Amino acid sequence: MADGNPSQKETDIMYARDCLNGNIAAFENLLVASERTVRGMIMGFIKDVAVAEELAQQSFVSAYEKLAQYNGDSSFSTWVCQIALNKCRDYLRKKQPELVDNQFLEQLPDNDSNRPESMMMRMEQSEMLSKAMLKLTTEDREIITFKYICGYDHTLIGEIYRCTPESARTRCFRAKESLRKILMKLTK
Amino acid sequence: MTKDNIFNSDNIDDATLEESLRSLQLGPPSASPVFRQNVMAILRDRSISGKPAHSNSKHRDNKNDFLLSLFMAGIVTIAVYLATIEKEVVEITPASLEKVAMKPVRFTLTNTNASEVHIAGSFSHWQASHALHRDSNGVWSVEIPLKPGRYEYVFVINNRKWTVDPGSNHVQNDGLGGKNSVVIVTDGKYVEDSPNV
Repeated sequence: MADGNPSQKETDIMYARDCLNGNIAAFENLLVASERTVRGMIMGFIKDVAVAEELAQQSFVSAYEKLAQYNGDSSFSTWVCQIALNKCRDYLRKKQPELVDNQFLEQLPDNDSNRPESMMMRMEQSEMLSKAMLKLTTEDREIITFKYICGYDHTLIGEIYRCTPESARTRCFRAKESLRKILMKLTK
Repeated sequence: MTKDNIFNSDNIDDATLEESLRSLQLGPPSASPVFRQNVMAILRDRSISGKPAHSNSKHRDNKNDFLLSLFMAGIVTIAVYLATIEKEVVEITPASLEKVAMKPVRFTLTNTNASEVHIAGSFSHWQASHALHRDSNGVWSVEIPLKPGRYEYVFVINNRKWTVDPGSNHVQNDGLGGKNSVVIVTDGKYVEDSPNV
C-alpha cells in the first residue's frame, strides 16, 4: 500500500477475499464494519424492530452467499445496503398500505415536549407526512427516506443507486418537490 | 409560520419541509454483538450442513481446470517414466520424509449429551469438516495430522454450539468477543499448551 493505511474499500476487499478462500471468520470483520449502517438503513424503512433485525440478518446472509459478486466498487456496507433495500422492498410489497402507514406513525420522536397538545400536533403532522409519503412513487419514497430519515449524503445515495452524486442530488430534489405538491394537495 | 401549522399553508417552504422530515430521523442503532453472533451462527450452520460457502461457476471452473491439469501431468509423468525406465533404487532419506512431516494431533472432548461433534479451526479454514467419534464413555475424539505450527480451534456441538476446548488452558480472544482454543504443534513428538490433545 503506497500511502500506508488502506482505505475502507481495500480493507473490505481483503476480508472478502479471505472469506472466499474459506476463512468464514473473516466475514465477522465485515459485519463489525457495516452492521450499524445496514441496520440503521433498514430501520429507516421498517419500524418494527424485530422485522428490521430479521431483514438485516437475511441481508448479511445473502451478502455472504453472493460475496463472490462483491467487486469493491463501493464499500461493503453500501453493497449490503443495496441488498437490504431489495429485502425491504419485498417486505413492504407484501404488506397492506395501512401497515406501512402505521409504521411511519410509529416514527414519532420522543425528544420534544410531552405536552398532550404538542403530541397531538406532532401526531397530525406525522400522519399527514405519512399519507404524503405513501402517495410518492417507490423510488421517491426511498430517496426521501435515505436523505432525510437515514441522513445519507448524495455520494452515498449515488453509490446505492449506482449514479453520480449530482444525479442523486437531482433525484432528491425531485422527490422532495413531489412530496411538497402532495402535501399541499392534502392540506387543501 | 410556526411548526404547529406548517402543513396548513398553501406554500410549504423548503426549510420547513426538510425540518419536518428530519424530525422523523432516527439515530444510528448501537452496535449489536448479539446480532453479529446470530449472523455468524447462521453462516457456520450452513457451512457445516454441507452447503459450499461459495459455489459459483468460476470456482467450479478453477477446480475443473486443476483436475484436468493434474490428469494431464499424470499422463506425461507415466509416459516419461515408461520411456526412460531404468533399474534404479529410489532411496528414501530422512530428509525427504521431513518435507512432508505432519504430526498426528488428537483432539478430545467429553460430552455425553452431544449427538455429534465436529472441530473447526485455522487448519481447516474454520470449516467444521472433521467429525469426532464417540466412545462408550462419551469421549469424543479425532486425530488430525498437522504440520508444526500454531492453530486456533473450537468444537462444534450438534452443528450449532461453538465452544472452546474445556480441557485446554490455552485460550485466545478472537478479537470479536469470542474465544478460541489454541494448540501448538512442535517439531518434536509432543504438543504444547494443550493438555487435552
